[in-house]
Amino acid sequence: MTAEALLTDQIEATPRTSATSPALLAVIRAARDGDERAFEEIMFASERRVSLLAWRILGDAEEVKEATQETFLRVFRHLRRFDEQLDFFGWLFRIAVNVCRDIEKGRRRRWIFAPFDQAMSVASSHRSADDTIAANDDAALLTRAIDALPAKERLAVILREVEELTTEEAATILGISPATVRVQVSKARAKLRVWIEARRGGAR
Amino acid sequence: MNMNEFRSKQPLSEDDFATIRRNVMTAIAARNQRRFFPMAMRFALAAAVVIAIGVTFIAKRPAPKAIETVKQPVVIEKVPIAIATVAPPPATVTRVVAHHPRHRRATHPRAEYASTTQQNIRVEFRTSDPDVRIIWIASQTPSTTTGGKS
Repeated sequence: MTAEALLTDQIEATPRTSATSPALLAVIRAARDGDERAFEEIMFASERRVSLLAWRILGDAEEVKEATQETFLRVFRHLRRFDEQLDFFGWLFRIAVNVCRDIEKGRRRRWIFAPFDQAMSVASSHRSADDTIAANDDAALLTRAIDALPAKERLAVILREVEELTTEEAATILGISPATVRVQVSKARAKLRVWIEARRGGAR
Repeated sequence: MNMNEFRSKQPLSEDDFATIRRNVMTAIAARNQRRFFPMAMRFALAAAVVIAIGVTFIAKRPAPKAIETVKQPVVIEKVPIAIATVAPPPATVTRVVAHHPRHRRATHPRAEYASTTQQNIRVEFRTSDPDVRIIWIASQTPSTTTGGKS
């Protein structure tokens, strides 16, 4: 079994273990020692999850490419700091979330400093293709509702409800307490319910 | 409504992933190349640049004008020969006054009297250099008692 397959198995079988498996640790150590092939294997095994998370947060394919690339560059840069006692994918997700936050900040700056017509085109470009689907479609409605949430609540809902991480894992990734995650998820759920019901009611 | 439906479709194609991997690996290779460039070589290069700049600066600077050196008199540590002579009293005592003439203080008559009566001692030190002499003039006040009523 190649290290690549081993990694893929680890992700698919036990994606949210509290600690990194020995097989994955061996590949990480090799990458840390400068083995570029080992790092490529890590990328190959985790790029889909990273890009999907970035897609859920950013909703723009071009920004997802940028986020995925930047995430792996940061992973390589800080691989020596990775604590082997922790879950590698939790650590990777934390980096990915931070990269997405930075990209969102850059996007907001572009809105502020761009002329009005350009700002509108930037604002509309990050919306997903799902938005073009009919408004009464549940998936499109959910997408628009989650996009309408404040950033902190949106991230909490994406990690906790969409990615189905535990509250503790979401808290670690976001760098906040589990109690705060619970509060943010609870607020977000209430807002989503109101938002979706209002749209459904309006459509009828 | 299932939350998993939220943007569940992968937005990137296999080609996109391949491009991302290639870009990342290129950046890593470039970074590794930079990292393994020996530190000592960097310092040597920096030092060479600094020296080159310094040399250029010095070469372009105009030559300083020749400064005439003044020969300092040689001080000889020999003990000077002291010749004590009793100088004749000066005929007149002249004072060099730097003040304005209007501010000049009038000479006290007693001082004038004293200057005429006092005897000066002139001590001359001769050094080994015939042009250099140290002359010390001290006034010797008369030993007469003053203010006595007799």
